Amino acid sequence: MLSRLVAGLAARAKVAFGSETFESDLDDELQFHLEEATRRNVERGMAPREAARRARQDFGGFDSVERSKDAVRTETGVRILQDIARDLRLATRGIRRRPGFAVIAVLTLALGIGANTAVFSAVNSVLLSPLPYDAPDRLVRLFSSWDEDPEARNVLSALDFIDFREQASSFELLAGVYDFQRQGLDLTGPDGPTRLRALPVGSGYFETYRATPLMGRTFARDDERPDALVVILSHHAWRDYAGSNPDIVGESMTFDGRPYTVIGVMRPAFRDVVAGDIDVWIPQNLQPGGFNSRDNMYLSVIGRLEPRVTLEQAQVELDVITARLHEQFPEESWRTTRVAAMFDEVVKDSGTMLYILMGAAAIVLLIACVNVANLALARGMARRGELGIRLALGSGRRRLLRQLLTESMLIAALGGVVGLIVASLGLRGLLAISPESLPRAEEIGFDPALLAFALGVTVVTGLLFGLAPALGLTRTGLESTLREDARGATGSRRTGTLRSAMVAGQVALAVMLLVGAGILIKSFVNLQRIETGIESEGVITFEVHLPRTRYSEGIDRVGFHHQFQDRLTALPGVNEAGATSWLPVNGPHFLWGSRWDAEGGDEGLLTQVRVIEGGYFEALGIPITEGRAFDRTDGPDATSVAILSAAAARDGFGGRSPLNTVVRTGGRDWTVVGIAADVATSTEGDLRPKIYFPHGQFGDRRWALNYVVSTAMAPADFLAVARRELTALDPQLVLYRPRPFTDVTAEQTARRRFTLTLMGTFAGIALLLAAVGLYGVLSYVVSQRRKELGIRMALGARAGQIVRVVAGPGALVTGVGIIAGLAGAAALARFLAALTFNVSVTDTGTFVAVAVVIAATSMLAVALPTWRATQVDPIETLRSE
Amino acid sequence: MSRSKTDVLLGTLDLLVLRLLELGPRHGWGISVQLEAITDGVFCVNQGSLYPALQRLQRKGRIKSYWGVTENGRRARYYELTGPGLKQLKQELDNWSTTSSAINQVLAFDGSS
Repeated sequence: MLSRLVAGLAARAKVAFGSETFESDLDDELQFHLEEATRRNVERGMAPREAARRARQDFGGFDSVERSKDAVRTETGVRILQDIARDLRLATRGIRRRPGFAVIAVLTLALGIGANTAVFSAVNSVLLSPLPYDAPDRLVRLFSSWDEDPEARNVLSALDFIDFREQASSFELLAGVYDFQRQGLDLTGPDGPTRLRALPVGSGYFETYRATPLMGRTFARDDERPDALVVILSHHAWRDYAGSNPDIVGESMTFDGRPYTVIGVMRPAFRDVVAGDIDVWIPQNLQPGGFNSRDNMYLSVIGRLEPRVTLEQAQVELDVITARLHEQFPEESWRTTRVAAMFDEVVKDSGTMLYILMGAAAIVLLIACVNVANLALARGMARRGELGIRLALGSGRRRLLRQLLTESMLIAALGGVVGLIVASLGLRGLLAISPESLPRAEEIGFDPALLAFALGVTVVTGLLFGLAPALGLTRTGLESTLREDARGATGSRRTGTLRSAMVAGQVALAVMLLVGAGILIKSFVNLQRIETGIESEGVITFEVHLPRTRYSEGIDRVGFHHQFQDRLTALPGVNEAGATSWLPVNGPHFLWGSRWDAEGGDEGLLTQVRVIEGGYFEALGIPITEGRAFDRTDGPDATSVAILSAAAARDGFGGRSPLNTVVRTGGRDWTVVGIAADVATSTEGDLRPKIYFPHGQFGDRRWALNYVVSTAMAPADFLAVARRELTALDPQLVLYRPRPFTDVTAEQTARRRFTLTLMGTFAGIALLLAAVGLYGVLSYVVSQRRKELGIRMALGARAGQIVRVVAGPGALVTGVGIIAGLAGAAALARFLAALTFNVSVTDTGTFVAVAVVIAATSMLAVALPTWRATQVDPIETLRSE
Repeated sequence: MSRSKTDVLLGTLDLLVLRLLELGPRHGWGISVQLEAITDGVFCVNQGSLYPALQRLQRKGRIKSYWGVTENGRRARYYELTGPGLKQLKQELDNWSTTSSAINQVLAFDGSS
């Protein structure tokens, strides 16, 4: 049945398009008929000319040959396809005759569709599609917070976690994850060491995600102990580092110089959306004692709710258990624990940004649609005369409508195709500049539904506005149309108002986008101007991780770092070299309470703890304002010393000097020997109180040190020699994550830059489109009023008056649009608040600047048509009448 | 035109064409000449309907066409009846005789009975 239908269609199509023979056969046949009739008429005694005329007449009169051809075509079904083909041909011809209209319409649509599809793809993947796990809506995370900051999303202590795991019945599973700090393992291989990203997790981690291993097993409770030397490989690590060995389970791999037994390999689809790309999983030690105390909070907790248990019920149970813990451990346990849906938590930070971008993309699409509508209206109006004449000459109304439709659809389709190209390029660009912190970025891809959405929008726009003028034409009746055209009237007042309103709306939308972009730009500029307190120019940073096996004692680690620093500073071109447990301008980290005896009794301060080594302050140009810096004499046997940041000295000691005060931090006493100038904790420039300890006295904790080296060498050159020095000291060590220090701050501002780039692009497109819209309308007005303008000039109007006639409405439309846009921006600005920095969302300067930019752009758009209007030659116009 | 010409009765063109083709292959011109001749010029086939009708019949498989040469050496498209066409002709002839006799009865009705 279907195949017959297809065959039939194919045959018709062949007749219609492919085969010339159908038409020529038909011609031959009818020609034969006419010639025979003529011949008979001649035989009957007519003159040849008369005979031929009569033959045609007998056939049915004027044009009947053509009409019968048409009838034959209809009979064969060739007609419909031929009509479509002809409509398409006509449409193409029409487009070729006025390429300006088509190009602008197609580009407008392409930009609108492209921007929208790209951003919606991202939003769809990040915000709208569920997490890639079984029953993802049951997945939760636990956070600790406290009364002062109930919104805090802090990590838990392992002991609290264990109590929750033992006692809470709301959860099918709870599992601990150590993602507080990036962890790595050095894989010892034949080509030297490679650092892999490792995630220490407790038992139940994979089960919570309902992920089963490709082979082997997952972690059990028994693995949650120190020195459980087992590892689970990700699929890509298995492929890249184990040669996809099918018998890998039970085999041993050497990480950090220790043999780990591979107990499992995960499936390729499994990814951790919280921690990101993980190469291998190792067990997290959750045994009480050691660093697992109730006040050492470092553990992230994931969980899966029991079926039919709500978040609220789970929260109630957590509160009961927490209250019990507070009673049991009044000293150590004072926080509350919150449960939150994992999905919300994963996308939370990016949600606002993506929704704002989505809004911006939608505005661009809206402006694009208005533009296309305006263009189509203008074109429809310009063609009213032509259409009226064709109607008068007997063209079928339906036929005309269909042709207009074909033309709009053709343009819509072209716009759609170009739009898809823009969208795929846009999406690629979007991914290229998307911040590393954007969750689920690797899931972003094209969705067929989005293609359909974009095409749907195009087609509807094309249809609506391609047809409106034609329908208007059939409604108003052709007589008035023809008369209007003949008189060269100034165009229908009503459509004029409609179009002006649309342009004003466009201007308003563009103003809103520009204000949004402006505020973000100002935020970004403010961020760039932040005094970080460090000189990051020429500073290179990298990490060095010392494996526990070969550097088990603090003295070994300190010794290694001293040697390495000596080697680095001995290099020509290296000015200073030092290291820290946590880089500045990199966010807060390691918040510990520091207490000391004061005259009024016990005083304290929450301080950011930084352990430093060598010329850290010098390398980053941080001055010591009081006292002294650390040196090598501050070793394990000397008095324990500390340096306070200026903010810590001010906040904790007021006007008094903290020098020589004994401060108790982390269970040890430290004597303050110096005060360092403040450095920014994050890119937002917050100067949180910090306390610095010498690595030489705190080396018994296993700090992974971030080196900072100020050098005149190019980064690549420096890293080459630095690697050589490192290998000379210990060939198994990895110089990890090397980058210029400026990249550290760039990473921190990546999300802002991303949002800003997109908003800026959208605002630029909006500005362009609005200008095109304004230009289009005014050009149309000028062309419509050519005759009137000619008459005015013939009657002595001066150029100034002409300018007023043309530019006046343009200025009015712009003005209305700007005012409406500023009002709209003021109303919507609060949604931006989450993304701004040190800028009021109703920043006057930005609003004024945007108004000026829009006004200036509008002036450009107005200028050309106005100039053309003053060039109207009165004689020429009147003669053409 | 001295004689008044009548268009072929609505709906009967197919029947007439099939009937003529039953006598042998003909071209379009031949069909129209013959129809006029047989009816003494009473029936004038509108060419605008003849050729579409031929196309329609051909599409339905009642007739088929081929290019041939006329007695005076001209190239022309000939149509000839197919099996299904013959069957349809028979059926339509039956219909026609039923219908026409019914109509005749009505026309011959003089009000008696």
